[in-house]
Amino acid sequence: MTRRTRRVLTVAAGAATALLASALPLHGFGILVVVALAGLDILLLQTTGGLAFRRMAGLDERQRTLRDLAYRRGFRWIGLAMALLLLILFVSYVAVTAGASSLKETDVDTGITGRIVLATGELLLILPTSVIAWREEDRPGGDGGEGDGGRGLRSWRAWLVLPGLIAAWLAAVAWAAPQSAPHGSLSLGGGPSNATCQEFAGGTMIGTEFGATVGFRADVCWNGTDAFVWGNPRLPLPPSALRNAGPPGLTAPEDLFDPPSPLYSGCGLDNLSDFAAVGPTTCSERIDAGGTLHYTVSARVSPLPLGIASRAVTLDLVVTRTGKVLQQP
Amino acid sequence: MSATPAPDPRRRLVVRRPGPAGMLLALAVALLVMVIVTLGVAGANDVSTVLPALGYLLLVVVTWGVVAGARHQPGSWLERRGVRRAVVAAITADCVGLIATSLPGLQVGSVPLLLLIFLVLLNIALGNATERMASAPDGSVDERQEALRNRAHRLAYPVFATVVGALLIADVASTPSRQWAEHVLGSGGLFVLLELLFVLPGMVLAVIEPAPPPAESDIPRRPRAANVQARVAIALVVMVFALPVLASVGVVVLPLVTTSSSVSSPSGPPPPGQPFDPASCRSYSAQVSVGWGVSASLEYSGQACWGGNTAGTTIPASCGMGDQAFVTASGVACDSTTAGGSVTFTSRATLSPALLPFLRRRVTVTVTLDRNGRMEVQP
Repeated sequence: MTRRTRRVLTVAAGAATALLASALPLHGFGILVVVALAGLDILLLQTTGGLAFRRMAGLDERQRTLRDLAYRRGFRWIGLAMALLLLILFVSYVAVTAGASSLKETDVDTGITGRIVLATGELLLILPTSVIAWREEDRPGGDGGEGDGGRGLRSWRAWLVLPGLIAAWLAAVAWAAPQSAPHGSLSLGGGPSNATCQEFAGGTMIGTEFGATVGFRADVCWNGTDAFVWGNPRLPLPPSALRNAGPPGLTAPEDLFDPPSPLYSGCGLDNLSDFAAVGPTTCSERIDAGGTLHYTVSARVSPLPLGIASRAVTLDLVVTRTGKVLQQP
Repeated sequence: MSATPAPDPRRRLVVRRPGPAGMLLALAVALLVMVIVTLGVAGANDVSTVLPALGYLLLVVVTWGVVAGARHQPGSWLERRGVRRAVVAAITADCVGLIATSLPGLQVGSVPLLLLIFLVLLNIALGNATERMASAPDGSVDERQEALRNRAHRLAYPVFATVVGALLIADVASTPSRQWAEHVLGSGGLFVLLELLFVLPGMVLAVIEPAPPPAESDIPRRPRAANVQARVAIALVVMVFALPVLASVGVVVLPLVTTSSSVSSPSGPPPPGQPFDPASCRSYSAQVSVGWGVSASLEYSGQACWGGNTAGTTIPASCGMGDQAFVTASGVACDSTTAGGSVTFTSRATLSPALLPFLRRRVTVTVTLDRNGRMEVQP
């Protein structure tokens, strides 16, 4: 490959990494970006002959010098590249959420997202190789590059990494044990004046960081008679919540006391679907005879179209009429 | 015909140093930042507790200035291979300490702050030992140095990648490991990561760089003034490291200092069965302090009345730890007993310096008030 082609590959890998690290929605197709990035990495490794990873014994003086220099430049680029990725993440997040300013960010703590994990891993893996691909000049009599000698990863076997990658991802999403994603923050919630309210949040991650997360947020109130979810008009308030909720003698419509408040009890707002799709989310409520709230959130996570290898996810929150939490994701 | 002189295999780096005014300004800003940070950390603690810490920070800043300003000479002690490796080992231990003290739920007081201060000083020492070769501009290093630092970066790269990779794996592996990774990154781990990002190649360089050639007899000896400055720098560095350790040991070995006060307080009712006499009620307080700089105090205060036959408390006593600086307290307990018409208040705690948590000292303060209003404090 010519130097120009190698530089194009390097820029393309950088762009794919930036897309991965950004907040732009991937709608469950993140694996395609990862596969494209892996393909670019293979091309870069082949065109540089895998110089960054070759054993010292097989290198001549020029190659050793180039490789050591690439590691120094690569090391210096890591910090800058990470800062750039964070900047991209911030700018894209602002751009994506510009039209949805009424919704706060997710309440579910999923740690470092899979996108950032992969983007960081990509930087660490490929930066020295990128420096080599960028700097190395074309050789006279050929189109240049360390990989033109037919050594290293140029073999077609390197491309087997791609199906292996897809298989590993599919296995993780389809069979790996779900992980709980705890609440990111808890605070006193809003609600009727005759009740005590608390915001709850949590979720379940399917396929660790490389699948999808089904999350929930719910503003749960209790008044000694019943526990109930406030802020989602699709879930009706119990009679005890409406009783004495307003001025004496005034009969007000329920929506006055239970306005839609997605900020507190939005259904499906805390899902994360970068590497697998999350189907329609249903949020249901049942208050038993003892006044205990059973709040259930369910959805289906699908790594592939047509629901192939999909998994059902159900989250249960159980709170008594005195505010005691019996079950929480 | 003129002979071209052979290049010096160990050409010195040309490092541009800031002028005295710039150095003073930097020191002043650093001191100001440290004062603000320290006062913020101190919170409601007494100023007298904060003062030794401020003095120590001032010492750190002065040491920083003196070490950074000490002229670097060929054959300097910092250039010795053993010293360089010792500095690298100390930085590694410091980073491990920062991670270890960042574990969730661990109460280690101000140890991370001390470790960060040490880390800054060690980085200065490393920079001097390697002449900041790892990050020097391209034009200021010769071919040998260029090859050496490139190799150092190549060796440092996988180490850095492994550390970051371990954090990423922890983020993916399970919920507890994810929470651990988040906690570590949100505390001391972030500093360790930055340390590795900016200093790891310099550390590797300090390890792999060959020992300097022996000093030749025709090399002019360094001026006496430079020698003195270097020795002062060494003394200051030793003092910066030794003081916290000595002050921590002081918590265990220094004598207890007892202070007490008692003032007339006619507001309280008398003990049961006693006639009310305003002159027979007093507010009292007793304090036992230990340590200097690394210190803690145990306090007991309240109000009592006496009537010739018995004495007794009239309002609930306040008991517990007073000011604490780099000391953790455990087993704090307070009780009172009555015998022979006297009432005895006892407060106990086990103190341990945060820097040397294996050292412990059990401290007890006893306040005895007899039926005639006499107060006795015993540590």
